[in-house]
Amino acid sequence: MSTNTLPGRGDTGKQNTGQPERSADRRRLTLRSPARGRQARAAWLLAGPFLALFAAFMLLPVVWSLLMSLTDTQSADLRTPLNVSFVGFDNYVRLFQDDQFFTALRNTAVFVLVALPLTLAAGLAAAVALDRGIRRFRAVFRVGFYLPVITSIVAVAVVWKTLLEPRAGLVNLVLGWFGIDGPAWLADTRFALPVMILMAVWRNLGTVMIIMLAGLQSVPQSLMEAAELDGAGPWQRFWRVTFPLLRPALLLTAVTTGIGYLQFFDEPFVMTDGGPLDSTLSATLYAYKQFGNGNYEMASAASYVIFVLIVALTVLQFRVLRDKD
Amino acid sequence: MRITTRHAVRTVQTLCVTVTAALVATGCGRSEDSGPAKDAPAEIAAGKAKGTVVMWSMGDPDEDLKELAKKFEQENPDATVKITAVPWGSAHDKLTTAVAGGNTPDMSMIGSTWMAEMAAMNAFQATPASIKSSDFYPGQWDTTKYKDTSYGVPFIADTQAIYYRTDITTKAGIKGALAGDRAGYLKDLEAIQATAGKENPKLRHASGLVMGFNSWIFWVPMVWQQGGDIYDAETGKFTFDSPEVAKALEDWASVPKEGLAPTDRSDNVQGFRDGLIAVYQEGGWAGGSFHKDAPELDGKWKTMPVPYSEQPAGFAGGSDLAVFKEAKNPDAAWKFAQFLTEPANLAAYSKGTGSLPPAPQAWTEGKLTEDENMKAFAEQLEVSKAPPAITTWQQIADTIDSELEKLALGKATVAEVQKTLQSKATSIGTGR
Repeated sequence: MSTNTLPGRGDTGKQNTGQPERSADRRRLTLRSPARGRQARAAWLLAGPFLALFAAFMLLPVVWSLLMSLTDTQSADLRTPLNVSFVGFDNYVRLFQDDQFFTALRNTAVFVLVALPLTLAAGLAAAVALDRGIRRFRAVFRVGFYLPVITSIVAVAVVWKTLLEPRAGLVNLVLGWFGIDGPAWLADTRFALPVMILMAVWRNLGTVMIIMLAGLQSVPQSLMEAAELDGAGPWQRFWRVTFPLLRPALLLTAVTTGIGYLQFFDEPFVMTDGGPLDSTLSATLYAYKQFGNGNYEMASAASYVIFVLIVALTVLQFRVLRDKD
Repeated sequence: MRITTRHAVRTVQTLCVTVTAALVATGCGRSEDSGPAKDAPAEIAAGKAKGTVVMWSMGDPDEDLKELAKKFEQENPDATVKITAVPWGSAHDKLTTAVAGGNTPDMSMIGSTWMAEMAAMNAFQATPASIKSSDFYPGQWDTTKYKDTSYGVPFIADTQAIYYRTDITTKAGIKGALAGDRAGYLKDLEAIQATAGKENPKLRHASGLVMGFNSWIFWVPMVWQQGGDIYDAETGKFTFDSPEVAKALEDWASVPKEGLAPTDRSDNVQGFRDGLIAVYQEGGWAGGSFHKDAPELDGKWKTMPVPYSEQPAGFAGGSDLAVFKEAKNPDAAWKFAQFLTEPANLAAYSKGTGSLPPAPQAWTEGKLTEDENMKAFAEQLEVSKAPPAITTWQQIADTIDSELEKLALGKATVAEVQKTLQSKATSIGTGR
């Protein structure tokens, strides 16, 4: 390739000055060569089936959902699509006049703002504990923390719902042994959302832990020894050496968990149907209910508001957590 | 419960195709004269059924329905019936997708509260004139109607009655059933509540209450009992601001307000079985499931009609049989629907499945009231009424559910609830 363009190979500096231009020319030429064309064809051929399916079942619905959010399509129009008319941003205006949608957005915001930091902190703490302390039982704990992640969320929600059942549930039974009259957790506006936050943290800290653990184990031992020689204590070593190296892992988990939390749906869907008094109604559950009621236009508009929020949060996370260099 | 309409449509794909078509052709506004509601009734030809009928049934694979299909095939040797079971959870999606894509079976069981929505989608053929509305309970027949045209035949009736634990109520000094009038019924509930702890150590509340999802089913009949309604079909206006609605809201809230029922969304079926509550309102299927799952309770519970204030009224739900516009074999499908809803066959189906038949004659022919506990349901069906047949009904129902919850939890007054219901319902409208 272009090894001869490297300096210090016996060539004079004078010859070198013209080199970069010439190598760029060559690259452009090779791109057009017949061999590259065959490769490109093969690549398209291999990627084709996926791209076709992606376009048909993901891209198209996404685009049409956007278009639908600008029309007045309802379920009754499925057979008479010519009845649908373009209404501009009317649906978005209606959406922002709906108190229930604001309740849903507020619940989602509370959920993300409380559950996300808690999950990251708990996951990191679990990873550090596993990396340092409990070496002997590491495998056991790793499985224990990760098991909730791979269990179906619906199964988890159903089990929690049973545990929290006001009369017959295990939680209130145990509280009863200590003379505490447990509340109706999921039917109480004070407890329903916090319970779901707790559940989400418990369920998702495993993902954060696994990725952080991988990050921790890749911190070079020599770096730690160097820091130790420089007189850094364990606390300083963690904050000054380990933590900055974990930044990419933190960004990854914060973004993926954050997106998952913004789509907060399964728990209220299975456990409370958004109640009591809409206290666990999430933005996605709101959109889902609109679909169920045949209001496809409102459901689409709500989905796009959620989409914009997810993009905004993700951009924000990249700004805050990206490597500074 | 089988009356749900909530199972939402997640498959946007099919829908999108139609929307594109719409958008490509945009420019044309909404034309008022299009759509259904001017359908002429289908006609059933003379002679025997021929060819294949494809039918979707809801729920578990239905052996009793298959038995009836076999009988139909024997009577019509040139006809074959193919029955596909569709789980309730995905039925709404499957049906709307099939209708939108024009790829339907010949006929299907349809949840009664889906009828208006799907009829508005122009999905069904109008019921043939040879199927007589007078053969069915009026409330059940009304579930097949949309804009004054009938689009199906009632097949399974659903209404609620009161279940009570005789072992608990007798300890409260109540002989036989609780009082059938509202005031007396409340006194009886208070008497039961007073025995909690002493005579009835497990009992927490006299009565159970449905909170949240589908609680409207228990409240709307209370408006009818007052002689009022929540919707005036003549004028197309909601009437949540009427004095009858105010009375019904007060009546509904009085039970939880006086501590006679829990407000914590606990499981009524379990509570009744465990003796935590003594009385609750439920559909006909519950009796069968008690007998199966809690045989130790046999003989310890009875049913009675729902107590009322001014006049008896109840809720009519269930499933109807409908034949699709795009049916390949509509004649044989209607013949099968007619066959299934003959009194003898309805009675046989009811005995097999424990469901309630929608035709009075089926009750007499099948001697169904020989079971004491079925009597209350037969009485309720006489006075049951269908909710308004408007395409936005589920949204209105959701609104009622959440307002009732506010009322029960003391977060809103009757007047506030009335005002919210009226303004929200009016802004939701009746669809198109």
